[in-house]
Amino acid sequence: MAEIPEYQYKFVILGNSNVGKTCIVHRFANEEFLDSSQPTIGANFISKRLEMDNCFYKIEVWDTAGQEKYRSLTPMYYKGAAAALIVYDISTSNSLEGARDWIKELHDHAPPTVLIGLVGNKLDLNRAVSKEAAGQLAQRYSLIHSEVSAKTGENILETFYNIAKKLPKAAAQKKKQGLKLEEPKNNSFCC
Amino acid sequence: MGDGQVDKYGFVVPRGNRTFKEIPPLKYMARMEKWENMLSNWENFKSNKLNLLKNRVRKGIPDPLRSRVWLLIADGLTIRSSYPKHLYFRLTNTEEEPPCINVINRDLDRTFPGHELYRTIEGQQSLRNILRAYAFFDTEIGYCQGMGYIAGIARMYMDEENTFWILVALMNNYDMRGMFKRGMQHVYKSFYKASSLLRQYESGIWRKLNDNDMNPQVYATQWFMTIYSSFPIETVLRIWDCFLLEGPKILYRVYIGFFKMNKNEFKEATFEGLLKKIRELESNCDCDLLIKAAFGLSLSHKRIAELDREYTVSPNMDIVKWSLN
Repeated sequence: MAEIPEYQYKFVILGNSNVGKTCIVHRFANEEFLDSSQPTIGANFISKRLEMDNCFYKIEVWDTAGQEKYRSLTPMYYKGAAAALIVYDISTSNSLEGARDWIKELHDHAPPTVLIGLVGNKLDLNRAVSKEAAGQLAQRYSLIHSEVSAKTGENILETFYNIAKKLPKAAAQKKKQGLKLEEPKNNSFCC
Repeated sequence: MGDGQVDKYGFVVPRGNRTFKEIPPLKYMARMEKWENMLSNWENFKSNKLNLLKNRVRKGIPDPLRSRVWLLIADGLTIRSSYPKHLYFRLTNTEEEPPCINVINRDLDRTFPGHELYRTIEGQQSLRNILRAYAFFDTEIGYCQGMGYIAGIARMYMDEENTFWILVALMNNYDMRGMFKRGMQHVYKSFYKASSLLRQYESGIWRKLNDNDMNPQVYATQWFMTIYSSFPIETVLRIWDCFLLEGPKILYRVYIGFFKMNKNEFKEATFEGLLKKIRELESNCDCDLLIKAAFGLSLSHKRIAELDREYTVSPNMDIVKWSLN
């Protein structure tokens, strides 16, 4: 039997405070709802191995702090990322505004190859942001839009699957984990 | 203890251990007596018997005296009396809202949600008042996530107004303000100092962490920004006792102590394995062993000052590669 290929991708979760970043990551990794989540200070890291379409995907996720003040810390998390999920809260009316700031931040500073997902969380609550408005925003900036609930688990795995599937396979052999922050020296390849 | 019951420190949902240190009754009574005596001769102890005071604080301030002693050692009351008498009242009664009020509001029911005080609207409201007042008091800082944990711990032990003044003391006299300033330079500098010291005192574990890119940045942001509030509550309190008396140096003592006491635990040398292990050891960290390890080494203020200078003037590139912003 042929060996099943394994690909490794780094994801970063961005978005304003209390949109549910940590709960999404926890639901993804542990398939349960994190009942009493607390504000993330700095960042957290988890990983999960998925099997789909006869491939293994090792997804590494950096979950970041949401407050604007922490933005000086976030670039190091998205710099080496293959994908970024920008999370907003569909139960809060101006939540897309926050997402827009993050889109701009990524477009300005992240490598253009980073695949960006726009993820509306809290689908279990009353909707204050229409699917159309978020869909339009996603289209305009070429983002992959989805709506999820970390509480019920709805669409969480699918969101990660859909993005992982779209990532280039060639450059995703197993790599060393961690945050490589220094510029590569004497190396001609780009990471 | 069954579900729904409140533990010794007010937690319904336990943080870390469910069992706490028990001091034998006679020893406890003797200790209380010493402390009462010390409190009635406070100025004398503070100026002439500081080493004795330090030793006693390192053993843990008796819980019923904690609020009083914290205020004394942090000079909370002195700071309070150096400002107009009704300043806190005026700040809380300001009609408009500070720009950061939404961030404050979003953190209220997420700050120590397992503690009985913060499970009530009154407790959350009280935290809101303190953080909101601080945002007016110090407009350059306003509110930064992390401050809620600090105020949250202090408020478990004292009333709202004194918590506000302890927060003012911590921010201004304990170097915490720099942690929350835009750019967070002070956080990076703490990482630099911590890592340099770990290399000096426990080079084996430092190398293992460093070889796997396990930098303080990955796991220690909350440790330094919130004075270890993510540790088990009893351990947090013991760290705070020492921190309030001895100052920011304690952050580094605890950091080295943590790795020193656990140095044989890090068997799996991968990024993920190390991070998991650190989190596991953090959430079960025994207060007595930690304090013993933290104070079982000699660390001078001079050395810390040297590293401060080094970071600014000519940082060591082995260490700084990740800590420069």
